[in-house]
Amino acid sequence: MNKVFKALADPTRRQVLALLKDGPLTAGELADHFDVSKPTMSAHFTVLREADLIDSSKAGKTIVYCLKLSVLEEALAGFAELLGIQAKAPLGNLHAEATFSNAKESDESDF
Amino acid sequence: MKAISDKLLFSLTIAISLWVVFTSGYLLYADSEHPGRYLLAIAIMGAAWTIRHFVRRHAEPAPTSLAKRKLTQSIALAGVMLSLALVMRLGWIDGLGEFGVRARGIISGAIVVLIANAIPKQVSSARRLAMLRIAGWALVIGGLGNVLAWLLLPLAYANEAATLAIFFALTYAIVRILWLICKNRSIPPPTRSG
Repeated sequence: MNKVFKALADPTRRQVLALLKDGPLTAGELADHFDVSKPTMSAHFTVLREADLIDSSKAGKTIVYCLKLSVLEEALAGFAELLGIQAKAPLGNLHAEATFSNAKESDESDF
Repeated sequence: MKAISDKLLFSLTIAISLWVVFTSGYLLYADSEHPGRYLLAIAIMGAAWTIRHFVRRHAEPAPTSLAKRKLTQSIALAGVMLSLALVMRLGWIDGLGEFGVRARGIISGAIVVLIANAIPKQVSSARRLAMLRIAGWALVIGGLGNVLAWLLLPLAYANEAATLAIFFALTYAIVRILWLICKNRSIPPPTRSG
């Protein structure tokens, strides 16, 4: 449950979940909606995947993400959005995490 | 996301299954007028464990543990529901008077909420996901209505109000899903570019 709270604490991740409510989207299509770098976006996807809020599948060279939210998780996301909850960790940490993750899995790119 | 370890889940499921089988066996002996319902409970547990054993022997190594865990969770849930029915049959709840009747209703509502909560947590297409979300939300709210009715209303009205809550939730879900199916039929599927 801790991972779920961590994932829902970030507005970008909540927006990703909101976009996926309309149906599965590729990593690129999702990234187009945000003004952040691709490694940062990748890190957001990893956090959401680890919290079991989204599911990913490979379609050729691209990765397609789809929503995997229970009713309680969706309600929590709604409350977090309503109250404007924001993660305390600076985005720099996330970016560093993403760079490290990408260095480790250079052959498995989301985009 | 694992709330409890595989070993603990397995042990709990074994305990619940043994409780269901032995209690059903006892009731089969004590209440010989209705043997079918108790034999059915034993058969359900037997069939579920047989399926689990079959999956363990024939699935590939990687997905086996996940499939096994899901099956074990399902057996545990079925066991809890059967246990509730068996406890009522044993008359333990009736002995508690009004509290027992309310507890029975609240547990039934909580089971509806628990199952409905997980309905949308399935990987599916956009159209199917929309339907699963409607069904999940409607039944969670209906289940909560059921729980609240048993918790707050006078006992004379609680049963009717709780049943109505589930009935309205189900009707709403069915009507919305049918409306969605009709709407989707009239719209051609979206074409993807890029």
